[in-house]
Amino acid sequence: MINEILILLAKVIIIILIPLGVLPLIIHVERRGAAFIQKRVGPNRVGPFGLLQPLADVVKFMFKEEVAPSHVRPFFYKLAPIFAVMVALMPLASIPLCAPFIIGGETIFPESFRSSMGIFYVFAAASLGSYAILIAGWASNNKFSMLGAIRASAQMVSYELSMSITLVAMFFLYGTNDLHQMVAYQNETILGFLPRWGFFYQPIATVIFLVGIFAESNRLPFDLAEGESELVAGYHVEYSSMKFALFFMAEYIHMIVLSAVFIILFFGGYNLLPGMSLLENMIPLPILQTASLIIKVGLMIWLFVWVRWSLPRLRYDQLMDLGWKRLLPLGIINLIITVAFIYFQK
Amino acid sequence: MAIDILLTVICSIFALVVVISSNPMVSAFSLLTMFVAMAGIFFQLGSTFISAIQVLVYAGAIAILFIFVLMLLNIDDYKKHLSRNNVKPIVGIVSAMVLLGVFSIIITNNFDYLSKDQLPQTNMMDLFKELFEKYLVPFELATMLLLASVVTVVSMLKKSLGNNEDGDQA
Repeated sequence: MINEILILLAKVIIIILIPLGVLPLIIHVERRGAAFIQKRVGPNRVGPFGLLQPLADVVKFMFKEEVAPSHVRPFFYKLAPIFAVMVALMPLASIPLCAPFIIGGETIFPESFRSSMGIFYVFAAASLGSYAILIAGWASNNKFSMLGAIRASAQMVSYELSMSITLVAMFFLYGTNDLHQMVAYQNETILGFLPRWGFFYQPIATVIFLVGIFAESNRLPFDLAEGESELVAGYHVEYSSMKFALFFMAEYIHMIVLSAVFIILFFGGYNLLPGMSLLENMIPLPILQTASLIIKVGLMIWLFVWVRWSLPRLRYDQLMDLGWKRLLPLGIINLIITVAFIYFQK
Repeated sequence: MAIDILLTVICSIFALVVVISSNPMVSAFSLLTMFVAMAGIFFQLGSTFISAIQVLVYAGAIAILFIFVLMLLNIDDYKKHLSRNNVKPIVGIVSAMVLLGVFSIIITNNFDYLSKDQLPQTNMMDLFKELFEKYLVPFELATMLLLASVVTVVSMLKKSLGNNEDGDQA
């Protein structure tokens, strides 16, 4: 009994510490990446290569005075940032870092919350993310915040729809909702050299899902919730110091979670990258698999940065057109074709 | 067992807040909490798929639509309208009668209570087999009902938009 509790505790701590630990690094990569793309230098004064800059930021956030305007609704105003981080961390409970492994005759599953819901749990937990923004925007009692919140939630609900449609297609392809089985399906090769990733079977679904991720995590080119030129900073105008930092954290954790789901669905999850199997004798397999997943998610994060500084922000009607008139019909057509293929193959 | 009781208590308290609270946004957020607690109850009963769908559809989509409508409407106008028409007593009488009916059914009938081990462990396969084999016709009829409501709303909207353009609404 105590053993079980200790194992569960270890799993929870590892799955929370990994994203929180790489968060400062991601922020640093984002700022240096922005500087690199715009031919600037970027933060390079604090520590080697400016690596200690995020730490300095955290210290600043901690010691800054917390100002709460008098016109806010106090309970919901304080609730929103906590809720944002909590909901962002929730889907992590079911994301597998590596294949189930055996220690001392006991099979250990890497995810802390394992149920027959599988991927549905991840999506259900992620779908609550829009409420944090809604609560923040409404509780701030400010027109900019309110407009930002309404924009953000409308956008998230619209794009969730097309993401769910592609999920159904992937669901038919893999024939299971268990994340481990999905990854195991992608472990083989097609034509002898290509890994059997979901991407090679469902390229259209991959593109739709990728656009959906950008919209869901409110990143450029879909960051209308914060559109600085129109809304100051959208839903977090009234938040300062650590409360603002919590929203910032939630956005990045959201990015990590959605990237991990994307990798598991379309790019082979924790399956070893080509060439990594040479190290199998030296390093235990679960660690290699975790490293492989983290490397893939890291590449996704770089894609986020890359896109952010390459594409301009969409106009709001363009955003809705893309979601409802392009991606959704495309997703439905893709689903019908997939189902027809699978039906006639059998 | 403790978790079941806790979930039931949370569910009932927030259901009460939905009705009692004078602030519609507080009601909407309580409704959301109630949906999530209900998903927890479904999970405890062993139907994990239903609990995931409960959060995805009800908490993720329907509650957000409620909040949307609340944010876009000017609620004070409707409050005046309600108090003028004096509908409160009628609503009270009707809901009291409904509640009385429900209670009388609960008291007069002897329900068999299943223990947790006796509950059927539903997975998705069983659920969809029932849905698409046994209950196919009611299921399809329900989808037709939803489609009919969507068409009605669009046609009504189109009518009122057309009036606006012609300037008929004075």
